[in-house]
Amino acid sequence: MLALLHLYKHYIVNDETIPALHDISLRAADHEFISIVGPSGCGKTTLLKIIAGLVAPTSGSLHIDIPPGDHPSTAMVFQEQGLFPWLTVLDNAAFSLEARGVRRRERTERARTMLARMGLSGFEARYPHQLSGGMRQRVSLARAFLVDAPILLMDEPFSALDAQTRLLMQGQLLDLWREDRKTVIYITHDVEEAIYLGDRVVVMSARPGRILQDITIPLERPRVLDVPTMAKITEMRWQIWSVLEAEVRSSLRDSMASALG
Amino acid sequence: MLPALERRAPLLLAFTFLAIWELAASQKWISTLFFPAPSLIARTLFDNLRTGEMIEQLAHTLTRMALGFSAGAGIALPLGLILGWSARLRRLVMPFIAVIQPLPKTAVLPLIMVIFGIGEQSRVIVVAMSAFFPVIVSTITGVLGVAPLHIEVAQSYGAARRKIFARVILPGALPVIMSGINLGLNAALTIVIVTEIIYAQRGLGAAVWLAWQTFRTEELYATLVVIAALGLGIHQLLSVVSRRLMPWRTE
Repeated sequence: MLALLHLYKHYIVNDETIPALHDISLRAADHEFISIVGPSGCGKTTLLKIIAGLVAPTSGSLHIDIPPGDHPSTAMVFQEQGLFPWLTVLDNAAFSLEARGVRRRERTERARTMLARMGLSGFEARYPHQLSGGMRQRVSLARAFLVDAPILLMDEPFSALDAQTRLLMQGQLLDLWREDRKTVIYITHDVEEAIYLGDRVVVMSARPGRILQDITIPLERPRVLDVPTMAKITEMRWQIWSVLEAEVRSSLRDSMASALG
Repeated sequence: MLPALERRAPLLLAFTFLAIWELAASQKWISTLFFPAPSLIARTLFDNLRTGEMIEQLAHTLTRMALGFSAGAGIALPLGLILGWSARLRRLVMPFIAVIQPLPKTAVLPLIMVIFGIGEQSRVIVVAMSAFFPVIVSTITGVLGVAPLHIEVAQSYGAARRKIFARVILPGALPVIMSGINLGLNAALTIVIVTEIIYAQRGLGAAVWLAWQTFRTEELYATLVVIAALGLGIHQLLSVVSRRLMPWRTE
């Protein structure tokens, strides 16, 4: 179980307080898949970093209740450039274990197995720049899944992929999630993706980020992208977009104003 | 057909140039005092290599350069890594680097000679200084240029600082560090030749100077060929080392 209670985050830049997150309360049950959508700069990534323990909130609290065991509470999947260009596919995947002090022989073996599960057998000795974007993100997934963290944090992992590859990766992610039963917090700016993947879609406002809406997605699982499902997704998409539109406009105005000084 | 020809074009051009030079020198169209025939230069070079004379000069230059460069880069590299890592130390030390770096190291040579005497020590110190600055500046730049995202990835998986340094900072900074080492080697070669021209009995710079004083231009050219070969050899070696250290950069 993951719970955020009245989280606030301010940044102080040149003696000026810049609010990033405003009173965020969110609860994720075990094995729940939560999508978070919001305009750019709304503090989505900050929220994820707070859950990952990389950034401390200014106030409010974070509760993570997970089964005991030799694993971290969270694992993070980053955007496309998150792999180390200087490590091979195998070493990139195994890095999550290496960081935890797992011995080379064991981590190599486990990474090989996980890469095989991701359909990357035979690519272990390649470097990231030799892979397609979709393959790179599968290495990132392998790296994250290897540490057995019960909570998976994903920061727009498929945003740089082309539409077809993204569809394939979304399907593969849902398969993995069904097998491994992780709690997923998935950040995206793509409303359709948020609906297709999530049990719930949380809509955030422009900066400072607040939660505007928390929508339960009534689609059955396993989800198949057939015509009726697509129709439902499109319908919900407009419902969410009607809330989001004003926020995106406001965020756009903000960035234009700051660009003009 | 055409690509093969194109590949050989530079070589062809060089031969044509040398042939015209040879002809012009033998026909006395140009002054052989300034432009001795390529065949004469080649013969001088060959003779000097055979007697071991040129090899000995080369050995002197190479030794001084190796000592100076390894001292300069050997201090600059770890120091640069520390300064890149610690913003506080960087603020303290950077002003000194910024002030001393633009100073031509040849201008410091007399001062170094006053302090350390007219000997090998002074020469090596100046060569070391010339290699030190490009290496330290590029090392700092390299460390600062490591993508924050990569550091965040490592932190998110709980990597210790040592691990982050070895697996993220060092390889991330390496391409820029290697280009600094390249600049450092260039500077070291230039400075070692200059110090040998200023005062030395042996070494390629000394040989150049002696050839000029005795007006043996073919000797001068022959020595320049050896210096050029030395520079070329160093860069070949460096590119082999770079490929070994950064296998991910090869296509």
